[in-house]
Amino acid sequence: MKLKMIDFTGKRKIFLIISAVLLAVSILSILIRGFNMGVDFAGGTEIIFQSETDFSVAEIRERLTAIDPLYETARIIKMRPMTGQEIQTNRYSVTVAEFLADTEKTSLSEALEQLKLESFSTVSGFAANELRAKSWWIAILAVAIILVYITIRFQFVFGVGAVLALVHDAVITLGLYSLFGISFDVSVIAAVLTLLGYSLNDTIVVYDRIRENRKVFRNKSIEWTVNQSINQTLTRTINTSLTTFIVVCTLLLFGGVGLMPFAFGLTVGVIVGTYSSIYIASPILIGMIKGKK
Amino acid sequence: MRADRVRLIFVVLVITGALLALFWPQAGRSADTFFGSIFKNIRLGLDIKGGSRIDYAIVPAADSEKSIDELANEVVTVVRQRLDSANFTEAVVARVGSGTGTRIRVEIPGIDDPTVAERLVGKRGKLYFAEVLESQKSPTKPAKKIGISYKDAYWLEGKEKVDGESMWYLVNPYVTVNNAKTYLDGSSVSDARASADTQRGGFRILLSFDRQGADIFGRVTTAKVGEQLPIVLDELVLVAPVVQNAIRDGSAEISGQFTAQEAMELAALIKSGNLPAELEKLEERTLGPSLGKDIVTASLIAGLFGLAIVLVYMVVVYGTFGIVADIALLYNTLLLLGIMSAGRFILTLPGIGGIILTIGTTVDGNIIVFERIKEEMRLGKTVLNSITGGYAKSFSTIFDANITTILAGVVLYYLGTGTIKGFATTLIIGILGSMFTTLVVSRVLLDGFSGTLKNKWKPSTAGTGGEQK
Repeated sequence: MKLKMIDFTGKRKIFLIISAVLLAVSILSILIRGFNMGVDFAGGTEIIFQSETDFSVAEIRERLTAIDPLYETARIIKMRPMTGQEIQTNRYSVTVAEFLADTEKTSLSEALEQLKLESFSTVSGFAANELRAKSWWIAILAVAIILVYITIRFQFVFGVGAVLALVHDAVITLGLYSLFGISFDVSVIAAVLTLLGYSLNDTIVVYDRIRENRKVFRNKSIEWTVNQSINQTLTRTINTSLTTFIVVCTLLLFGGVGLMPFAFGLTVGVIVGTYSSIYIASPILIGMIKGKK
Repeated sequence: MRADRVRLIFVVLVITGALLALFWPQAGRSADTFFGSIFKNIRLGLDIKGGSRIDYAIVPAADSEKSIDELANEVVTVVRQRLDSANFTEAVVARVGSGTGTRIRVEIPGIDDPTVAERLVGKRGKLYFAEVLESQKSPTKPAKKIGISYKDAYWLEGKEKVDGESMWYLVNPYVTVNNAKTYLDGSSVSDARASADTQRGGFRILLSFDRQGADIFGRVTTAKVGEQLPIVLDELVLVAPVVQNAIRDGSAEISGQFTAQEAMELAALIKSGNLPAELEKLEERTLGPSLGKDIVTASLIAGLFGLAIVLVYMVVVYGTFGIVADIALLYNTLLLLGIMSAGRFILTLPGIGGIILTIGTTVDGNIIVFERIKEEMRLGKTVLNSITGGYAKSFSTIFDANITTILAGVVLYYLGTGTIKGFATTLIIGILGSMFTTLVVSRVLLDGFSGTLKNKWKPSTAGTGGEQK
């Protein structure tokens, strides 16, 4: 039986240009706009309220958001005293990623009934020093190990292709965080790592087919082999991406504002990761393999 | 058929183990809600479950020249290192307030036992090697000695009791070597590890010095052969071993017959260096989830909803194969949760990212195999032959795709801290589980279901079939 072939590799220049534009926009946005750093990194202000009435976290969020939309994404924690203390007043810690002025303090305490403002203090970003120094080494080492493994199992150019696709995905996803001004907190790091794992998996599946087809069809051109492999794995690519997309997209739509930065990265990641394994990671091999000959 | 039997038994054993780990009541763990009872054996992070918060005030030493800002930053770094080396990687350390009101805040997931973390945070961690001038048994601190040779010397209590009485050592922190005073402290230690003491029983701490430290230690031990060389931590003599011979390779051991917990905590204290200031506990509180209870509930429902859609999608697209994939998916999720509760790992939001990736790779692995089996069927092979052929051809795909991800995960685990480590843990366990479920569990299921599967591409008579979809 004949499957209909889609020509992925013929138009590869167009997609390489699209990706180059996306990369340029992302890098520019990261350099110029930067990131909207969340509390985890930038620190912010912690306000502690006290109340005789037992509010739920959702109620507190609702009441504060009515005063200022800033509190929609605030980190709100309900606190209890350690066991053994008699006075059982409810305490709520509300942290926002901004350094509020003292004037805000008075306006807040006036606007809120039943909530007594107890303290107001600046908090440092706990994740800032967790990441900075070592993180570049971790990234470089991880990339080196991936390169070595793919070189052993495949060929050096496949390793280069996979790593370029990873860099492509990471830069574009981070660029989108910057462009849309989405709060950048610790969970974003996890989201980016997840998407890289996903994209790598996706890329290797296509590479594996290319490796196999090159042995079977020795006299065919590399363009043909790559295109054939992408087509053969296409049903799998679509079904896998769609199922993963369903999970992360429901998380984005119904997970609420607090989970948004995390779910956003995953959702964008599935799209970018799938795109890059079809249009970037494999077509890029053609040029490199031809160049070697 | 033997291979089938072995596989089936293995699959049943693994899942039984995982379910036992997940549901066997662990001491001190109870649950109040339905979801809580499912996950009661899994330790949840600060973001999902909450924990304890302890605030400390910084008390600078009297002779300290550093500003409170510098001190606070140093304290945060040291405390972070200590918690990491004692495996409290999910704990959060931050500074709150500014100027004289600066506080150090430590948040620890779970409310089981904040005392361990408190022992790590509150101690100075000042380690040094001292010269011993005299020692005696005494219930109270002996009187101060006067005399030129007792300059700089003071009495310190020993950790070990001898015949139920405290041992006191008159020590001098400056060890005299060839008429010169040398000083060797924790800053020269490049690594400290807890290890089992096979000779004396219990646990000991192995120290490695940096180059300069190794040099000083070599000279000190050469000069002090046959004498005691007490190791002092926070003004308590941990051990006072007699130097047997000169040690020039830059290694030392503190063999005080510690418990495993003690040895691990002491190693963490020594390795991370001493605190530049005293910390005074201000207040201690129990915290709700830092993501907010509303968000945790919403995302749990969203996650389960998404999972349900995936399960339905697979059955719709792949029929019987889809049922196999669904069972494999649930199998791997239970396996992952079982391993997390058995290994007492902490599940946080980044960990959930790892779980989502696991769901993705499990579904993916199954799809890869199914598509290969279908390709084999299109060639006209029987169902059983197609399954064998499909597995043989998809092995390298699944193997390479997952091993690359695991390798990256291992790097993240060993070098990362906090968030990244938590993510790497679930990633590695999840991907290994996904390889196992795809290659073994699904295989068992497919073999079981093979009777109900038909090869719709197999030509029943020559000339028909083959083209139909």
